[in-house]
Amino acid sequence: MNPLMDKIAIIGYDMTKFGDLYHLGLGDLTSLAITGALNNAGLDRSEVEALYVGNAGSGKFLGQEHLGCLVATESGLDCQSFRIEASGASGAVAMRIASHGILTGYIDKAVVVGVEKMTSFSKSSDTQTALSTSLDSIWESAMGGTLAASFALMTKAYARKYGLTDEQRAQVAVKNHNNAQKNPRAQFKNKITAKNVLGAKMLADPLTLFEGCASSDGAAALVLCAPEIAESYDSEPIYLRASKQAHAPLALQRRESLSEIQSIKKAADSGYKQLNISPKDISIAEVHDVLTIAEILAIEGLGLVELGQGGIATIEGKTALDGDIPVNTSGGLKARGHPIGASGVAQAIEILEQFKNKAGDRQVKEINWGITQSMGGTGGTSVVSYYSR
Amino acid sequence: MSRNLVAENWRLERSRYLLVGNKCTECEKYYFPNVQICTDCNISKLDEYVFSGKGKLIEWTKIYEVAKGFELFAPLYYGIIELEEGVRVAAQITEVTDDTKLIPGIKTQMVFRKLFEDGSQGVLTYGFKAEPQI
Repeated sequence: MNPLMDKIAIIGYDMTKFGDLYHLGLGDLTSLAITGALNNAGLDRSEVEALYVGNAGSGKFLGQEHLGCLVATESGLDCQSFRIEASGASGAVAMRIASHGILTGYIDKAVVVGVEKMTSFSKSSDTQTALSTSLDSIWESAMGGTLAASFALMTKAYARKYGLTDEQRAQVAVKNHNNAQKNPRAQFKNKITAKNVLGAKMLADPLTLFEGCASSDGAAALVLCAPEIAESYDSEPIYLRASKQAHAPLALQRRESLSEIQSIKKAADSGYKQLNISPKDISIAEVHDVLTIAEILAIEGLGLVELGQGGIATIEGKTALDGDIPVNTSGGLKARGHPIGASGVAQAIEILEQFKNKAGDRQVKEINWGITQSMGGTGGTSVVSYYSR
Repeated sequence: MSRNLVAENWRLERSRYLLVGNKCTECEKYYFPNVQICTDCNISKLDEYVFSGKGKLIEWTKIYEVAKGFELFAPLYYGIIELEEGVRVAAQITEVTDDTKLIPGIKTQMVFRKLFEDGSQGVLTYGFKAEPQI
């Protein structure tokens, strides 16, 4: 294998709307996304050699495991099928594992689907409990910790080190809602202001409800194939050129620093090195803004802005749709919606739509490289993926 | 919570109640919670070590949207504490009367408290919380 030359072609994609989809079950969501992606690629079900299902918590949300089998059955696929879990990075890791299958020559064509069905809970404490399973259950969650609390600790540590205003943080949510207004599949298409964000009820000081993601249902699917056969399906395929994964200790207290997410930088740097490119080559990025602070830490970890400059860059508009480096043109996890296991795949779809000039009013011109950054929990797992024509 | 808390609490009793961890006999690194192997030295010879519970505040937050079982304490103070041996733990912060005095670096002492309730009929889980020494 030559890591500079190897690539995976993405020849089809589709996703459901994200949001409160009470009328659709997990099998319905995946069937819709997979069928759409296969139709988009012009591929028959019988040609699919393997299915990779990214899902974070169907056991917690629905009492349903064994998704490899379930999703294959409900989507009418008669092929080997795998469920992959890495919390919020489940969809992104599923895409990586599918790529490994193709790169080794074991298979030529694979479907990746990310899915989550989260709206089955009626109580906020049940949702917080389910989300807390991405932390260390004994030494964080059972001590009282929640996902928002961990990000609150990071926010405060970051603010002490670099200075970060509430308004800079809130601007992440404001910008992502602005972008989502131009995305027909987004969960939240309403415009919000910094005042709305900062005035919302507190999750964990200083982070408010409007700085995080709502529960969401949805599925997103990709059809991947070996580059040698790609052009018979798509005359101008977009390629996944590298996808890197790195980890940090699961529990926040075991990390060296609270003011950065080391796994993002580690994954990103190894990708830049392999491709012999730098952050300056990146035209657009979709990042894991599970809370506002996460986008700030992500754009710094990816090297898109200098360390400590994420808040300033955001409020100055550098990451806006018309900025130097548009970030989360889809609306991000915040406003496109964050059905946990689907997010990593939905990020790739936004990059594909941008490359194919199908992003409508949110279209960014002249794209050289696109990048996605997905993570599990508080960044215990990070996946950074690189796309080009 | 649906997991078997009776079995889990029994297993974790000494670490949660008494702050029992361990220390590598080779590199003298402290571990909390205790480990079976020091992966730095690749050896399983570790001595039991009882942490003093003295430490300092690294960072804190006040959680308003708590997870199930913690409703009794909401809103609750939660943070990261560095024990004097250098090991960091996450814990609720208790006996906070004035949170403007929660400044990173202040001294803390671990105290024995109820951690959470597993519903109205379930087991109670006890363990340590950090008390600021202001």
